[in-house]
Formats: sequence, C-alpha cells, structure tokens
Amino acid sequence: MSLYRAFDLRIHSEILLPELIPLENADQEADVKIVRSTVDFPDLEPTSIHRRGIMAQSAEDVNGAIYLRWEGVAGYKAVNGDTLYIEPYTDDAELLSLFTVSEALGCILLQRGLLLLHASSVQVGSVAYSFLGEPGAGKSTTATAFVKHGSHLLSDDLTAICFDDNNRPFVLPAYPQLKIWENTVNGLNFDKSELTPVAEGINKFSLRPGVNFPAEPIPLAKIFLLHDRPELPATQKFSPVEAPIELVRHFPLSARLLRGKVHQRHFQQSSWCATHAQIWNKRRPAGFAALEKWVSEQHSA
Amino acid sequence: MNELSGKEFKLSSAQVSSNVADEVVILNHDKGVYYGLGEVGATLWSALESGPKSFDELCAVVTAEYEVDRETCEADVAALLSELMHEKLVEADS
Repeated sequence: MSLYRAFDLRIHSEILLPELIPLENADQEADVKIVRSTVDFPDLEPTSIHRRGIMAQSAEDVNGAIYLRWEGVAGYKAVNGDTLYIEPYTDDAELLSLFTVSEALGCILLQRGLLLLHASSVQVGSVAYSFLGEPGAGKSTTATAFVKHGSHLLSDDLTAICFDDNNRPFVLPAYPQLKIWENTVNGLNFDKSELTPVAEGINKFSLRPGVNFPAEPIPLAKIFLLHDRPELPATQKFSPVEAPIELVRHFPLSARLLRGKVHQRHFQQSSWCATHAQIWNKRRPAGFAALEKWVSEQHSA
Repeated sequence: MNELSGKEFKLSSAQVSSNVADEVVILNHDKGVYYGLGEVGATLWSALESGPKSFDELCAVVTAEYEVDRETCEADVAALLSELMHEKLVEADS
C-alpha cells in the first residue's frame, strides 16, 4: 500500500502510481482508496473516450457508482467519491497507472463535485490558465511552452476545478507530468536527456517538472479555447453567457454522465468560471517561434 | 385580459441559467436542452430570478424598460410565458 498526493487529495493505492507525488507518512488517513478487486459490471455503453487506441466503455448504476472498462487494460468502479476498485487485465504496471490516474480517477473527482475539463493547466504568477481544445489543438504543447518559460505545471489532459464559498474557481494541482510529442520536444528545444520516452513505439516523451509543483489550489484567471480555424480572429473574447454550453463540449468523461443534477452542476460551475475568469477563443500560434512569442507576452502582461 | 393575468409565475426546479448583461442561457436539466433568451426575455427572466411575480408585475417590469404600449406588452409577455411554461422553465400558480 502506497500513499500519494494528486488533485489535492491523499490517495492510498494497492497499485503503484509512479506519476503521482509519493507521500512519506503512509499511516495518514486517505481521502481516496484504490483497491484491487473483481468488479461486477452492468451493461456498458460505448464512449468517445480513447486512450492508446482503446475505447472506454462506461455505465452508471442507480446508486451513483460509475463503471469504466478498457478492454485488455483494466476495469474500474468508482464509488462514493472515495473508493476506486480496479480489476486489472494486464501485468504492465505502467499501463495500469496511466489508465488509473486519468479518466478512472476522474470518475472519483466527478463524484466529489469538482468541475472536470479536458484541459491542460499551468500556474502563471499567482494565477492559473487552462487550455482547452479538440485533440490535436495544442493543449499539452501550449502548456509545455508555458512551463519552458517558467510557469508551473498544474495538470495535463484532465483539469479539476473546485470553488470557494464565493463561487470563485480554483485549479487543483494534478500531478507533475506532461506528455509531449517528439516534434514539440524538438520545436521547443528541450534536452531529450531530461525526458523519458512514454512507452516503446510511441512518439511521446514525458516531462516531469518535479520541483516547485504547487501544493494548493490556484485561482483560475484565464481559459483559452484553442482552435486552428483561419476564419476566426486570432484572439477573441468568448461570450460568458455561452460558457456553460461550450464547456460541456470539454467534459472529459462519458457524456452520458452529464444528466440531471450533474448536468445542472456542470452548467452552474461553468457559469461561475465565466464570471470570475476570462474566456478566450485563441487560434493556436503558427509554429513554435510564434507560440513562444505569445507565451512570453502572456508572462509580461 | 388573458388567461394568464390572474396567475403568479416562478422559475421551475428543472432549470439552471447563466445570466450575463443582456443575455440569458438556460438549461432544462431534466431534458438536457439549452435555451437562449433575447433582451426582453432576459429582462423578464431577471425579474423572475428575484422571486415569483404576477402577470401584471412582469408587464410593469417590461413597460418600465421599453417604450411599448400596454396592449402589445401584455401580448408579448403572455407569448413568452407560454413558451417558457411549455418548455417547463417557468411554472404558474393560480
């Protein structure tokens, strides 16, 4: 049993989770437990979530338990926002960890009432910026360029946001890992000796900015909706009133989970984000030099 | 006079809304359907957000903000309320 920190939670896990920050005192009480177990799955539905070419299947039962199953990797059952059961189908520890700390842990975060976005986030000065966009729009690349420029990484791919009593949004620091394509490594002139290949045969590298990883939730100041559409202005303020509809498109789990009260909460929380943070439509800068120039402007602004 | 004039109106429990400046976006989370309201609709919606209102009170809110005669205003408010009730965003108590 190991104890880790991620998303401002203490996580006790029966499987190794090398992406997460290990905590010394394993006797501390955990917020979330990850438990090896067989899982009795209900009928599962297909989703649009893919990881390593495998499509996730998902379901929810009447008690609010969320099921997630990746063929050949693992099946999960998230209960009550505090227990994640995992039924592994492989012995590949790295693969199990990768799938556990993404959407599966996301199911727990959803049950804990957090706003989830398919986004990468960084801390710039004392505030957080989140980057959203279709796959390939440049979320991780943009976050990487910010980190290269001295920002702290907060999350890659899955961003969880909590709210204070005044409904102000805060990004929870996830864990210190950023996965980037080889062309990003080259384009931003990273030293490959500081990076780890993600897995054999995959053209991705893992950047682990272990020092200065923030411990506390960071106030969200800007959301950038990255796109690659030449017909739109390079930078355009997004109408805050439409934010709740737009942010639903960036929900990272099965869209079927956004029903009733959960959909209502997502709408309400998105609208709070629009009240307290700026939302921009941002065409991704053409080329790495333009990206670094924009990042540099954002730091001096 | 119309059939709505003696009733009191309030926002339903099936909705949640985002209200910024002159625009409103509403979600009916029972149905999973979104709605947008224009300027006059937003005025009416803001009034209902502050609590239940009678038909006359709602008409008064609109005539106070827009140059419109009473008859046109009543017809417009009645039409809008009917639509909002049809979509289960607003409820009427008689």
